[in-house]
Amino acid sequence: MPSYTLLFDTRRVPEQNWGRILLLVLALECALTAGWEIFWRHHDFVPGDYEDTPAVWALQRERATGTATVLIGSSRMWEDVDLGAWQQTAGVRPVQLAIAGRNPQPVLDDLAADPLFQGLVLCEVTPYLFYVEPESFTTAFMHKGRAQTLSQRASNRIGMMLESKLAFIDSETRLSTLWKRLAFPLRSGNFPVREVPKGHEMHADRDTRMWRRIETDAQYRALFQGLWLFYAGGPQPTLEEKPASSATAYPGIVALVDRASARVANDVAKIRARGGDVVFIRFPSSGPVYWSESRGFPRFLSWEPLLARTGATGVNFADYPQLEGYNLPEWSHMSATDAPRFTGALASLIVRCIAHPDSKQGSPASCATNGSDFNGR
Amino acid sequence: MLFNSLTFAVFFAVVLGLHNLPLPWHVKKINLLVASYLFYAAWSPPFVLLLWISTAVDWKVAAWISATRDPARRKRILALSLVANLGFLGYFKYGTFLLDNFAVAARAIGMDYVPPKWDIVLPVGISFYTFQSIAYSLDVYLDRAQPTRRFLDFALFVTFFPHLVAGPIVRPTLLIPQFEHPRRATRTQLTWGLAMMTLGLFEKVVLADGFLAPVVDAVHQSAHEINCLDAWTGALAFSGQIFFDFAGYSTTAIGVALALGFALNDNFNFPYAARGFSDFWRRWHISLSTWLRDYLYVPLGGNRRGELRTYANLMITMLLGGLWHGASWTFVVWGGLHGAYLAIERWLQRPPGVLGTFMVVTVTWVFFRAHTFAAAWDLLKSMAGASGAAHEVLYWNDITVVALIVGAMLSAHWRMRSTRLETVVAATPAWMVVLVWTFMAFALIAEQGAGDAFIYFAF
Repeated sequence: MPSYTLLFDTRRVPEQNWGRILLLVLALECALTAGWEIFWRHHDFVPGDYEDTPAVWALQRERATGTATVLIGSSRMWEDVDLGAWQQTAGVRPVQLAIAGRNPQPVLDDLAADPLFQGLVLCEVTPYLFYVEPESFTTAFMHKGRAQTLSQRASNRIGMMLESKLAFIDSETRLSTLWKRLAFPLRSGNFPVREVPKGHEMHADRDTRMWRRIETDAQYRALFQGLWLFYAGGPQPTLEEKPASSATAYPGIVALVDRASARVANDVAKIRARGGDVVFIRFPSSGPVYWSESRGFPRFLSWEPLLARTGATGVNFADYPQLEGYNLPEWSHMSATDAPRFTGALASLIVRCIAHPDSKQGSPASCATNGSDFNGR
Repeated sequence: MLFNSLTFAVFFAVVLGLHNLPLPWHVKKINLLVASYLFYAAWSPPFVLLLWISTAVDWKVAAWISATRDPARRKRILALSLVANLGFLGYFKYGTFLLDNFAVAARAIGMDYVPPKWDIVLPVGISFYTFQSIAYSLDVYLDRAQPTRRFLDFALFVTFFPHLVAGPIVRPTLLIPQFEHPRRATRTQLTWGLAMMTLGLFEKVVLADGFLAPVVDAVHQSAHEINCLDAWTGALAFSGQIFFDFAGYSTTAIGVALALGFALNDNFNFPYAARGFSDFWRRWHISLSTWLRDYLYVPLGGNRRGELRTYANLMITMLLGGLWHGASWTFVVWGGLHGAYLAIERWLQRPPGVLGTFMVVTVTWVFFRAHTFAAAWDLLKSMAGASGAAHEVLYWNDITVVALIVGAMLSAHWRMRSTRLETVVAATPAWMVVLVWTFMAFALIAEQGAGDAFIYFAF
């Protein structure tokens, strides 16, 4: 016989009163879990706030077919657009496919390559993410969502059932995350904010709101302001309004915009050929984030060449009084209270743009040039 | 299906319920077999076909071998099992590797050969179940065991879900006899099985995935050269991650089987308390190292054919053991280094101490974790403090948690090196058992777990 083979057929069980131990463990576990749930509910966490995972994204991607209205982009598309308010205005509930902090171009490619999709795509253009952020992160996210095994799909469904009932299921409350958030001294190579902290609440169909703590907790809000300023401004972020010029622009901006525009122009043409359409949206930002974005990505070097090259309709918040003046607590995203009102204004504007015959003919920024709301800025 | 998934929790509850119904033993075994196929198919249904082929081939091969005493004929029949099983492994696991290396060799002699793109998905666990299936044919061929009479028992032995995708690699002589008579866990076995599952999942979900994996990834994925402290932290974190990941899987598998009333063999025995490398391999992935010893090292002649041949056999066994882990030269080097350590230890007749063994094992893991030699060298250079403008990529949070977890792991291994988990638990006051079990279960719930695959699934 092989020397290793142990001819045993039972494993030793340690001598203990296992029945009583199991009962005590179960009782303590229930008490601790209940306490944990209560604790987090007292700290602004709520049931029905879902984790955004590739699996949840993939579920929504399956709905993006036919003449669906599809939202792509990053966190501004999440938090600024309220799906219910859009539905009220436009009569159709959009499919939310934005991915926070990621370049949306691979999602646009994917929709353009899908012969079953002939709907309307609303694409967020947040300069740094749209022109600079590597696409590989988006591609990996999409692939992970689609390459799920049957088991992973089932786990995702069960997980969502639990998330609908339990507030503590959130990546922010994990033990490992709590440890990461402990205030140890920083080392020389460390970025002050390690990972983007919780900034939103997400519902089952990825309808998303700004998390209430950002609005109520000034210190927490300041954390985000620092973060967005870091990401927004490129090489010359600014805390005060300063003029934008070619000299303040992100290095290599012309080539970056040219490359991105050529690529999305191809996607826009494909979607339009099937009877669909693409509208680019520049969502509001304010204060130092807006100043920094404007200096890093001046409108004449980024937004306008994009529309000219693609021939697509574009809605830039700065062109419409009805899209300005909302509360952006951390200078970058809409407050939960203002998101429905902003969405209503945006939806009615876009419905009017799309209905306008010029917008189908591919004249650049036709919505702006032909719309009565253009204020000439 | 992953043990650390919600699907598995539901699946296991159903299987456990069915197994405890008053049904005939034959029906219960069919339930377990069907459940095992479902367990595998939940990852990729088409690859169940491979399991069926492997099972059918070795079932017939063993029967044919046992029906003849003609050595030449027995050898030819055995070759059928080896060709089928190793053929699957070769195609799915080493196909791309072989083709790429062939292309490199062809270019070296001036041939302009570009290999076709070969996008093969590796069937999960193929290295484990093919080895287990081959062991059955080899045992019969070597007259170490008689073939079983029931196909159902053999199919269940190959497919039994607790060990199917990442071991322990179970010997036929251990598991097949357990399917002959009705088995159901006693209440104490069920409870201890659940406790072992909690321990295994705690190791995997909380320690390996939650705390150590992000540190390892940060170090190995850094685009810059990193400084010495970060490099050592990353290397030590991987020593912890690979142990908690794989030992966690094995402990969970043993607990799952025990909760159903079956006994699986241990796969780890506090390996970081090993004194020397032969001791390490008696404690690390025991079911693979003993498989390699019994079915490769011993048939090659082991230590019975002189010193030189013994060293050669050691190297061959460890090089192939390295290659078993993955189709990459970095795994071969990792195996080769361990072969060299074993040879040197044998030559010197003096093993290094516990800490020395651990440090060498940790440095050698660099080749196991790095995807390329360049990445491995970069990290080794950083560990030696020879990097130029080295970056600090880790936070003090990371360094502290790695120090705490790896320190606790080493001290636990040291304390447990001459005893068993069961002995220690039996000697622990009941209230302490309650507290520790509750803590681990609560940490599991609080960490939530992202359902990351076990590292050894890829082997």
